[in-house]
Amino acid sequence: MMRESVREAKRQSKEAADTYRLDRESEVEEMNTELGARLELLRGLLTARPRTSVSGTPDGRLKPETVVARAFARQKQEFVEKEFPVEKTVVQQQIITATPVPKKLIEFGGFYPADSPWGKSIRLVGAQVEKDNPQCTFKYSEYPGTDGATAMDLRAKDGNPVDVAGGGIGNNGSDPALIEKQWAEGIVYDLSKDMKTPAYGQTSGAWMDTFNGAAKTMMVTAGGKIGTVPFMQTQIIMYYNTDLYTKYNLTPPKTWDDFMANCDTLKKNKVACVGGGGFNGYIGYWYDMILFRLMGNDKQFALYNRTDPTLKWTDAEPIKAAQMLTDMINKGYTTDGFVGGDFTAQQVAYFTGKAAHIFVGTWLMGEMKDSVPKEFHQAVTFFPTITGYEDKTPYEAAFGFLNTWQINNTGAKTKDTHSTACAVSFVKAMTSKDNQLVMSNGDNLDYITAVIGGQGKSAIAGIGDLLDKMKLWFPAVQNVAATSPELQSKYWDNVTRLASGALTPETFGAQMQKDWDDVFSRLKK
Amino acid sequence: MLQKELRKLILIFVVPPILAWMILNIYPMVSAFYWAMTDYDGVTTSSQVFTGIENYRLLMNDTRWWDSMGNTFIIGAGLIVTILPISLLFAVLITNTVKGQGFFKTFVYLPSILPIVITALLWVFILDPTVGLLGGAVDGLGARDQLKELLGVNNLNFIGNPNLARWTVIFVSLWAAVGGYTIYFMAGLSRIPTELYDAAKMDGAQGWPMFWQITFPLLYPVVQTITLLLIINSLQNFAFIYVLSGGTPGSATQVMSTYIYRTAFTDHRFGYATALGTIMMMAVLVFTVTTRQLSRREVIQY
Repeated sequence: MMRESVREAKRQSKEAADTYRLDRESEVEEMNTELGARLELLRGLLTARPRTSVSGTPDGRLKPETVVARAFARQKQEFVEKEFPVEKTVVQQQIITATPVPKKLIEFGGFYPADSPWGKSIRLVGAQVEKDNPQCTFKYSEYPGTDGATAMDLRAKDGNPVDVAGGGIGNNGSDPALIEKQWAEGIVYDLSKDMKTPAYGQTSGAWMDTFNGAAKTMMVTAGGKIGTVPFMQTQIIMYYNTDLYTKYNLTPPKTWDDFMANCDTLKKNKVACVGGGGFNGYIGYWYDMILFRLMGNDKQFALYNRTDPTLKWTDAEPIKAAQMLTDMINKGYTTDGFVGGDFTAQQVAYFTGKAAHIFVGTWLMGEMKDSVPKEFHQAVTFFPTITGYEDKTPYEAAFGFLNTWQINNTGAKTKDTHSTACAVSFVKAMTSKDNQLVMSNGDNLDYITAVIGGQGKSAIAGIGDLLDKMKLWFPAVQNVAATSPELQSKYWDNVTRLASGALTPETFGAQMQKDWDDVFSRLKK
Repeated sequence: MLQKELRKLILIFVVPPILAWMILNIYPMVSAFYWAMTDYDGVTTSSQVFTGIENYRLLMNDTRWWDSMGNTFIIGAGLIVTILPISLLFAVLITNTVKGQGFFKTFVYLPSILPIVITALLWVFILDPTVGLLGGAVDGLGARDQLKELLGVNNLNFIGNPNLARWTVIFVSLWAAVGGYTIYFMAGLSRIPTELYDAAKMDGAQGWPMFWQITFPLLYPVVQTITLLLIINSLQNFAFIYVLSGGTPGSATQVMSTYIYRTAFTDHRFGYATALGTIMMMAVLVFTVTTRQLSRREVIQY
């Protein structure tokens, strides 16, 4: 009986275990099947390229496999969180109030009004620099007119300079004594180290090498210092009306005699040979260039700036230059308004074919763009040489202005609020090829850049070719205004009196010498 | 008591404007004498060096300054001898016109309405011998060379010719100013009682004797006032000459005021320019007082 009970119990126990095992196996198999299906679905979802929405049916409902995948992901997450709880540390939120760092100022002293095309393009560069250099802020200050540069210079001497201004050491000619004096004054920042660094937006190369050869000759002064950043050239050149030349069968003059012969032909045909003038400085340019051809650059500079006191205004060459100028006027080769007329009207005379030549700066076309007839044709050439004096100067010579910027050392009154580093960034941006292309390609038709590859369109046909050939460049009026504004003022006054007949060449020379003696005696004190 | 209160009230009203006037007028005038004795360049503090009477010593030898003074008096005298009689003549003619008095008054006065700078610019372009009205008219008639020969000049640039520039300035100033002074004279003429003219006519007087015996004596206070105004205005003339000729050609039309401006703002010699300004002020004062003394006479009443 007991044996049967034990066998029965064993049998029941085995049946129960078998049933449990089968149930569990069935359950596991079911789970595996389901899990496998889910994994298969998930794999399919992850690798498949959806043609439409992965999760949505065309009618906007979720696809079954999407429901499955999401449910699986949720279950997995719950399992992980339950089995592997993560201690979360709640970080208390802190509100950090930034203390604004005062920006350093770049003050730019501009010749043109802020809302002129010039001013706008410079302000745009300022905005670009502000964006790229958040520690810097830009300000445009207007210093218009011919006295603007002098006013900024005087402000710098007073310890309150603008950071970037027109001018620059070395831009004013080659007088070593004057350059030494300017460096000694300590106003201008030495750019020699910065010139070895890459240009704006570049990672290699030297900033110095972005400027053309003619510009670079004016940049480096004694001791390797650099106080000048050139960006634009403004040259005084001879424009001539090519239609009149064709009509009267003339050729561009290489010598003064050729030029006088052309003038004679034009006068016979009742056309004035020379237009322009008006403004006393423009009459002065004629005298400057004639004297340059007679004396050569070094001697002329020495006479104007009295670096060689043995040279006098009563010497042969200054008197001869005065005679040549008055001969040109007295022979009737100039327009009637050449002396004392309005210079704008005299320029209009040139553009309306009443005069064949005009000797003025490359700003002419930009200045007169609204007055130039569409059918007007002109070309440019160098000022003629003088027979017997050809060895004094190369034919391919011109004078003018090398428009440059200088960076001023922060003055005593501005050292806490201004930054030379910001100013350097600004000037680098100004002279970048891209910015120069923009600036020379817009409304500034008279813009001739000193940056290689930065020249946009120009209103003066042939000017690029002409200046490429230039062998000698010197500053206008031999930069005598830098020595003293009074010298230039008296010089121009005397030239106009000479041109109007109030002075003879001899009395002109005597008056110039008297004025030079007077001004330099006061300058010495 | 009332007098005291009244005096206090008067002081309260009078003192502030006097103080303002002293600050705005007297102080600059007095301080000018200080700045005239410095070497100030107008900008740097380092140039504010006291130099004593150095600037006054320099101007004694400054031929340009003396030329400008000469030009000032020549142009001033030219304006007085032209504007005075011409405006008086216009005033008499217009007053005696029966028909169209309003039209003639307007016609004569019209140039005076224009601002000085506009008038000067207008004439710069009228007189331009190449592209101006004058140049265009002369070329249109084909008379350029003939006109040069007639006038004995090399070119027709009147402003650019040192022998003609001053007369050109006087002519243009006359054109601009005669209308205003005509109105002053007309106001003076209107105050002369017409009965005097009726009485004179009854005695057989007419024309020039009537003008000389009745009109001019009674108009004399107006003549005196206008003469003084002309002197002051012409001696201080700046804007007109600066725009019209700039003092050129050379220094042909450089007057005291334009020379002072050039010395200060072109040559950057503010101290020296102030010294010149003080001399100009004294010159105008002396000339005005002298003219007033010389022109003083008994006021005639009928």
